[in-house]
Amino acid sequence: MFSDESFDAVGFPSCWKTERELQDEGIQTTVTSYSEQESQSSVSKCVETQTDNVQPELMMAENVDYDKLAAFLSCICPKVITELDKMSRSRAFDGYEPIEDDADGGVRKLHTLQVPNITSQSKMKVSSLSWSCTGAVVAFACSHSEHESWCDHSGNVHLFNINRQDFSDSAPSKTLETRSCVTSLSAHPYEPSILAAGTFSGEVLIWNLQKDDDCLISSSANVPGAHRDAVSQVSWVRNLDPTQQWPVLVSAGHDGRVLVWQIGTHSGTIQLREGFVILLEHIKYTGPGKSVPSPVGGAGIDMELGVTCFSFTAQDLTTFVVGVDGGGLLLCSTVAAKPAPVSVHSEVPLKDPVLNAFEKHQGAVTCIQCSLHHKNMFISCGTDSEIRIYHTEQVTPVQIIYVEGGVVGLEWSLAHPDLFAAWGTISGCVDFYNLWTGKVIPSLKLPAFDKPTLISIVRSNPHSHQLVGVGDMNGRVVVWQQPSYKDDK
Amino acid sequence: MASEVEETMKRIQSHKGVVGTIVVNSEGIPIKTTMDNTTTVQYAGLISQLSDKARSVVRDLDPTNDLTFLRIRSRKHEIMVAPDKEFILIVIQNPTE
Repeated sequence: MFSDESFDAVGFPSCWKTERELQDEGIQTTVTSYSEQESQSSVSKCVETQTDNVQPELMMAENVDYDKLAAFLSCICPKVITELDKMSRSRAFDGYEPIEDDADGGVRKLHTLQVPNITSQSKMKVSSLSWSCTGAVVAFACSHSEHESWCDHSGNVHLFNINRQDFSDSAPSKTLETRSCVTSLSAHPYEPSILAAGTFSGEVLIWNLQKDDDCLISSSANVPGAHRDAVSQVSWVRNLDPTQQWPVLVSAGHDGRVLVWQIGTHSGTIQLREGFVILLEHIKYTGPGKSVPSPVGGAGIDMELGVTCFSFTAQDLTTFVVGVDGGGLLLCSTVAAKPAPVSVHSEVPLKDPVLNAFEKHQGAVTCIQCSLHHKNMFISCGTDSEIRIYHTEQVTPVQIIYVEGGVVGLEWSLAHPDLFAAWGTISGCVDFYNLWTGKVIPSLKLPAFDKPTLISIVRSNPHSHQLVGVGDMNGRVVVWQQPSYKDDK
Repeated sequence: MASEVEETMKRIQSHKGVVGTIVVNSEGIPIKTTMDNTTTVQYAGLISQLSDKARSVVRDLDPTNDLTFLRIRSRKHEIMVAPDKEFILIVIQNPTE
């Protein structure tokens, strides 16, 4: 059955070894040149100044009839002395303990504003809300929640004056019509009758509410270089030019442009003063050592990045932070801007303001707010359900707060410098966070409506800091009154 | 006469618990004071307004009546106001607790 067999050996040469090629090359650096320089600081001088402590002048009464005064005092003195003695011997207030806190109770719902014939149509949400600088008028815009490609709807802005006697929840004191849905509203910081808005079609509109017939005083529709895509945010920023009385209006749009408009004080005409464009190449900066290749391919493509939100720092009005499509956060400056590359097509010269990029969100950035009180700090939130606290000098965030249920918007509380409000969770409530601890403050939480809906916008009243206006996806606005918040530090 | 005024003021000021004394004329302008300028101006303006209001309340309720003293007790002090036709005496006292 078994027998021995032997086979021939089979061999094959290995092919992994190849001959290495060698070549000789020589390089020579140029001779480095040295030179010595000496400098000496000049003699220093020391100067001191001292201010005087200014005491307010006390204007004492003149022409005092001292006789009458003496008579009055001598008459009244014994009575006063008796009263003072009685006071010190009084047992009336024994065991009297005044109540420590003025407990103003919890959160109270003051008004529910709704325009019935508008909100009965489906899918109208409150897209933007703004209080007038006096805090008496709340302006909100109702727009359709879904836009497929272009906006064919006509937009509405409703104004309610909550301090008026004849104030009614369902009848606005004024309604303004626009040609397309309004995406952002901003009231003038000290002129109560001026309101600015940005629309879905790229128009920037200015209204003067004191005019009876037609409030619209100017529109950017025909200005060359205006936005050609939806405006995402408009904001009034204090003017650095001392010759101009009014602040400038800054608008940002999904076409990647941040435009600075000058509004004439008396004429109300709108003029484009400066334009900035955010380019795609900046999104490549994600941090030291990491670079993400441009998704479109190629480094030299000068494509514009849609701007979703922006915020100017309160201390330095030339610096602003911009949130772009794709989640990037960029630090920009109006003064240190370089001219934009020629390939960016525009009727007016645009500049590239970006200085640096922060670590980006994993989703789109929905809101950025710079702190009014803390220098160089800002908060941002995005569709990745994270609230990030950044410092402008640091690329990575100082703190990340993860919110279950998503967060759509943030706003600093005007009542307290360390608090900010966050909204957009599925539960439909507005939470207030403490900046330093990152925790929610339960006593300030604004509860959801009867049928929980998503909140789209929250704004604090600049005059009465306890009032907060909340707009939701059903076209309703609720005005809440909050208790005052004291830290236990 | 001025020395008499000074003497009376000193007598009140040195009484037990008195923090300060201010004499104000009918227009609310301080005449004599033992406190610093800022506080005096504040007290003069505010107290004269309150005292006028209190007096009008008393006289409206009963025209034959008149205000003799007004005392305001707060957590920190007690303010005693003695009004007259031409002057108002304000004494701020620390209640001895």
